[in-house]
Amino acid sequence: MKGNSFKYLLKQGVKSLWSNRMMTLASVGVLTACLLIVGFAVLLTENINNMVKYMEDQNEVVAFMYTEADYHDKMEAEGQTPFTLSSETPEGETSWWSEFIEETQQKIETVDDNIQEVTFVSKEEGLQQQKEQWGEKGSLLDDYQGEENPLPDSFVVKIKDLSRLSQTKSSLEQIEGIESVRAADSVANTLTDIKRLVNIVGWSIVAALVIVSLVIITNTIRATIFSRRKELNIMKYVGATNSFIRLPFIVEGICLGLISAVIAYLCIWLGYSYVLGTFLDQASSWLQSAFASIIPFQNVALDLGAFFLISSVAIGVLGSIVSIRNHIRV
Amino acid sequence: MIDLVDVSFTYDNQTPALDNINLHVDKGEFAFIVGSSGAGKSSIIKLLLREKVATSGTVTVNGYNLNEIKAKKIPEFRRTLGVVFQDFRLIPTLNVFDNVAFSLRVTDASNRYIRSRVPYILNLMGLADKAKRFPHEISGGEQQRVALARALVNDPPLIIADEPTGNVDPELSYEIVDLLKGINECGTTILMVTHEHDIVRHFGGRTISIEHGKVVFDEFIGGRNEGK
Repeated sequence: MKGNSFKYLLKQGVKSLWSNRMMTLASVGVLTACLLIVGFAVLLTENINNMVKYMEDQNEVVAFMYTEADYHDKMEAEGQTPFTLSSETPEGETSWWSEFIEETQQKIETVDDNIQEVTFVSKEEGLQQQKEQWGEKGSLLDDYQGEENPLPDSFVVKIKDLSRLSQTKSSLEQIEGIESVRAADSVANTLTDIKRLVNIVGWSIVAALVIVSLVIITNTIRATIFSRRKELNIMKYVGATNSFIRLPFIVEGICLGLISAVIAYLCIWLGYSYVLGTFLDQASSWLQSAFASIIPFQNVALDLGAFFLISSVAIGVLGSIVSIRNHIRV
Repeated sequence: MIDLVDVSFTYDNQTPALDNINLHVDKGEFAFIVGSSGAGKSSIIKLLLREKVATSGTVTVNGYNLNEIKAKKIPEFRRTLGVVFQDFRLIPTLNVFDNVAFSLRVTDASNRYIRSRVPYILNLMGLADKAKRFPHEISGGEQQRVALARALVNDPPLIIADEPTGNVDPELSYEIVDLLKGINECGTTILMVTHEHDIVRHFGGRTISIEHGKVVFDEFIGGRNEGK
């Protein structure tokens, strides 16, 4: 095929969009609707996933160490040579206990590959946090400053995979110097379950919708081509090759796909932003904090756009090729 | 030009349509094929256009053996003949000019050639002022002339006309056949299928009569306007 014919056929494909405008409208309508449904399902699933992930991130494990005095007594009771307490360490020297804290932090960081971040919270910081939480009554804790502080040093541990929480928890408990580990096991389990459910249900809905869309779209294109089968026949009688007949239809398919993708994309963009805006304006503070983790449109804009363009153009082209095949055997 | 040797043809549903037909049409001839409906005329056309393949015997058209032709070569073969149908078969979404030009476009003709050749043929067919019209905007007789122009534009050595007068007014029928006769005089072989005996008797020429799938008559008959 020479460039001359190619240009002519391209033009023919674009022209026939207009000459068969009712069918164009029907195809674009169906394709847009399908893209919209799939797009919203994807966004919904992604958002629920994101929310669960946000809640996961809030979930911290706290590993409490023995207090220095308790650990000192424990060693004595076990018959080991006890260390020099910080209060007895000469000034200017690093105490045994602060070295022990550093060692313990290193042990926690390497206890297994599920550890994401370890933050040391000294007993002074712990007390300060406690005071802030108590608000006005915080002054009640003023007597427990310095030597009187009953709180232990602790580590706030962020973990990567919540489903392996209990395993990590028991590993942490094994570490020398750790007295207890506090973790919200039941919350973690619920979140993990929700996440699994959302993924399974969400993506099966998306898959089902994709299949339904494909069926509807192929049928629409088939109807378009059926209404033009005479035209195809005539072309064959005049000596047109299959590719000569096919190219305008493929061009048409690409155009239908592009138009639908653009319309669906704009609709999703506007709809999503509108819904997001309404929720943020009107929802209660509890909902607002939940919705704060909603993915902003610009974060998914590129992926969604690429997904729409590729899938709709592919559907348009494949639909054209598949449905035309049965009609050009003359 | 056309060579049918011992050709039989049976449709998929086992209905026998052609029974041991032998037919030879030479270059430059004008031949009528006549017969009542169901006699096998359309089956012959289908074989000649390679829409169907003979059940037995060989069909040769324009040097192509249609029993053995490869699917890829069929478009190339079809470009060597012009076809005119009873129902015109114009492409409804293309105007007169583009319908005629379509025959050239499939052959990869240059735009320049198309722009000079198509108006020439339309002029010849008396359609110069209809170039921008769409098929549904012109009369049946004009549509058939467009179809004829489309068949002619490639300058094919053979034109097959399947009941070209079937859907046009009687007076226009004569006009169409006149055009075909004129084309024939320029050296193009023409095979015209018709069931209108009046036309055959009026124009005369080689007449092949088909009944029940067999050739029952194949002779030259004199027309009433002979020597006109």
